[in-house]
Amino acid sequence: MIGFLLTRLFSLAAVALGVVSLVFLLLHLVPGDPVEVMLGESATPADRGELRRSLGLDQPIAVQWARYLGKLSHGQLGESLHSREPIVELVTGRVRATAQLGAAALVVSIAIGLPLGVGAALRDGRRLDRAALALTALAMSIPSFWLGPMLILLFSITLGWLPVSGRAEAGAIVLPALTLGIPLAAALTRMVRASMLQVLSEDYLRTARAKGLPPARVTVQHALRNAALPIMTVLGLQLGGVLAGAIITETIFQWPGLGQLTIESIQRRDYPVVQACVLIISLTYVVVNAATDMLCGLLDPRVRMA
Amino acid sequence: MSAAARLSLFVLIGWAALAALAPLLRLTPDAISLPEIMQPPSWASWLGHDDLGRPMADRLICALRTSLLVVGIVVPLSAASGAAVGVAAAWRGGLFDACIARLMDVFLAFPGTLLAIAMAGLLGPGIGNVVIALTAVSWVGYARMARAQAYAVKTREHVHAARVLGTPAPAILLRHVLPLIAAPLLMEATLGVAGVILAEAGLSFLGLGVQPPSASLGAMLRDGTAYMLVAPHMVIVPGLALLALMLACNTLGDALQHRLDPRRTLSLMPAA
Repeated sequence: MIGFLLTRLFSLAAVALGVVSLVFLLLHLVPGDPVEVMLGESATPADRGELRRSLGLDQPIAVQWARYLGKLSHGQLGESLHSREPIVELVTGRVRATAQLGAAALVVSIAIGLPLGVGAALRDGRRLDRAALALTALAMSIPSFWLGPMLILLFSITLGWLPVSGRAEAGAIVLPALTLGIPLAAALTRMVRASMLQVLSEDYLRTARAKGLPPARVTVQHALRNAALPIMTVLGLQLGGVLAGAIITETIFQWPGLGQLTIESIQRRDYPVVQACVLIISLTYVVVNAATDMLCGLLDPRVRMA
Repeated sequence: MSAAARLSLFVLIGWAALAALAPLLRLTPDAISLPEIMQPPSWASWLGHDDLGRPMADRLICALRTSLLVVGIVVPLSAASGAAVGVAAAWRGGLFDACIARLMDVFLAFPGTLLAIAMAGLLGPGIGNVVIALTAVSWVGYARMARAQAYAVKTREHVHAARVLGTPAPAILLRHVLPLIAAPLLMEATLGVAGVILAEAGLSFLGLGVQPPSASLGAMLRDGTAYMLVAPHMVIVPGLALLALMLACNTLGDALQHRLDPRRTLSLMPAA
């Protein structure tokens, strides 16, 4: 058990180092001289020299990389070129907003996906199952940047029930959470259905039914618990979808999260902020996936062996 | 083939044909016409006009051409480069393979959309950079699959025989390994089409893709959302087109996957 956890922690550290390095290299993708792109053509040579020094771009790339890692290990992300604020302060509130939206989207996903998937599996091949499959196919094909505007058109403009955008008004989170959560709910429904179908044909379920347990108890305690592992893995992976999808959803609804900050910073050519946002989002994704993996290992000894 | 799969095939063929034949249709996607600004669909102009009075139908066809162009470059390019990297890693083994495997882990550790957005944002807008960003994100899926498949094929007897006969490695890979791993790669590429269409539209929606006046489904949607209140057709038309494409790709991908049952492909592999 401890060996399993240590191996996973070690590979987590290795991947995290790789992710940090790739994010570091992203800045070097900017065509031409990044300093000139960031400051524009009107900047004086002195300004350019100062920015180049403060970003460390006058150093060899290996030194830049080592310094970047050193700063990160002290929790420093640099400062914004646009507002001159430390990036750590800039992102704190944004992280909270994105976490709130992500949590709401996961709630939507589970609230729809779990019962619908279980229901579809119990009614395999019948009307509810076919309806669920058709609905999930539709939901998985709808681009979020169309679903969002359509929800606004229906619920905000036509019916006037919910605010169009922002975060200030009550209920403002509903539409972005639905936009982000509905495609996830569809994927979760499919996964729940598939793993429930696999479990439902097992011998121990026949035994449970044969000894006269109430159907609800058979479904929840015997079937769902055994089907939980792949479902958890999907939920862990979905968080990645949430974080990446949040970029587009937050832009549509002007939700002041990390995703919106990423796009604003790209438009402002505030590349250190872009770098920081990408780093935070991808590291969260890496850590959550590793945590899901370890949790699966704790719950199921078979995973530990693999 | 089910009715849904046949309909999907029809939609995709129609998309490709329309996009390919666009230059012959004498379209006027950039013709600004002030009296027709935001005119809803009518008999004369069956998809209406946009905020500059440009015909939506013509712009839609050009946008479909843009997505076909991006798919046509990104999917083959990332499949070929990914397959080459994956097969080379499996063939060489050792340190080279270990390095490639770690590199793939790092790329897979990113949510794909995020990496594409960041790369396209830093490289700057334009269709060329969209292609670079999407290829840089998608090669790794193919590489992972090709590596796993090539590992299984590498130990098979006909490959041993070819080696013993002194066939040079490139010839073995090309003639004895690649044909055996082509089917799952093609399958992956089919599924990849939907992802690339969506990613291109998403980048253009964020303003990081194709630049105006060129048409793209994502850019049309972005313009449409700004005028949603007064001209809902501007957001409904490109959205429905994109939805139809995505549904067709996903349905066909499902049908193909069903046909190429992975268990059947696995049974062809020798017991390790």
